[in-house]
Amino acid sequence: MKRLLAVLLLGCMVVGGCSQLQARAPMAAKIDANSDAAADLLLRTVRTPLTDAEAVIALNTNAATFAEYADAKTVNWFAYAFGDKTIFVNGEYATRLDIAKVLSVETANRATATPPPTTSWLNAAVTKECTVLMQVRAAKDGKGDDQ
Amino acid sequence: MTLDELLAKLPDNLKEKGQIFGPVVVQMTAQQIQDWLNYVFVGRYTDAYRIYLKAVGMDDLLTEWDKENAAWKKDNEANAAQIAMSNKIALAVCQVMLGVVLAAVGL
Repeated sequence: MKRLLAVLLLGCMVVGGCSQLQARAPMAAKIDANSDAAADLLLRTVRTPLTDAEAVIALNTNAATFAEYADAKTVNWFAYAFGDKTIFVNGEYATRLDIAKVLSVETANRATATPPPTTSWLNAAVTKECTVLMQVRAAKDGKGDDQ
Repeated sequence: MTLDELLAKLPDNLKEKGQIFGPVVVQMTAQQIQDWLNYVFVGRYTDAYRIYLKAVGMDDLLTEWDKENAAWKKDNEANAAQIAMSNKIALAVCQVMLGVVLAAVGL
């Protein structure tokens, strides 16, 4: 009986409050830092639009970031706990990260295509990507909305 | 093929989806459609999505980000609700167990 109670207590402590997107160091710190950088960039974009060159750099950086997240994720707890994967997600978040990776690569490709996109398109793309980067942090922190 | 021709060929239950994805599908080349189908049949949906993205217009690409943002928001809200619920359950179990443990040690 005592063992059963101890196991139940331990189970509650472990399961209670766990997000469906977890990250271990240093990825957790990286997600926070990228989200902060995205928030700063968003604020800057609101004040003064980015130049085309700045926007292209931001889109390429974001594409690399999303690729890093997608490649580091796993739905297998053992790969997360004992392997080289640093983000543990459920199926929904795994799909989200995969889509963000593909979408950001295509966006970065379009940014440098000919004819070049307009400055407003580039700024809109940066804004939308930054918002998703902030959503990744909200997912890790188990928050409903980080807008 | 035009969008109207595509919609005319679709069954009624797919016409709504046809309105959403049809404009992109009619822009796709035969090769792109073949690649897309190949990826879907083998379950490589991310690669299929990559093919689809190549066919969407510039504004539609931004719309894809809006959809993605909305999906993240929805998932995050579900995630937060689940955490709150599991915390409540954990707290309830711990409260019951505290009483049991205190009784067991005679307090």
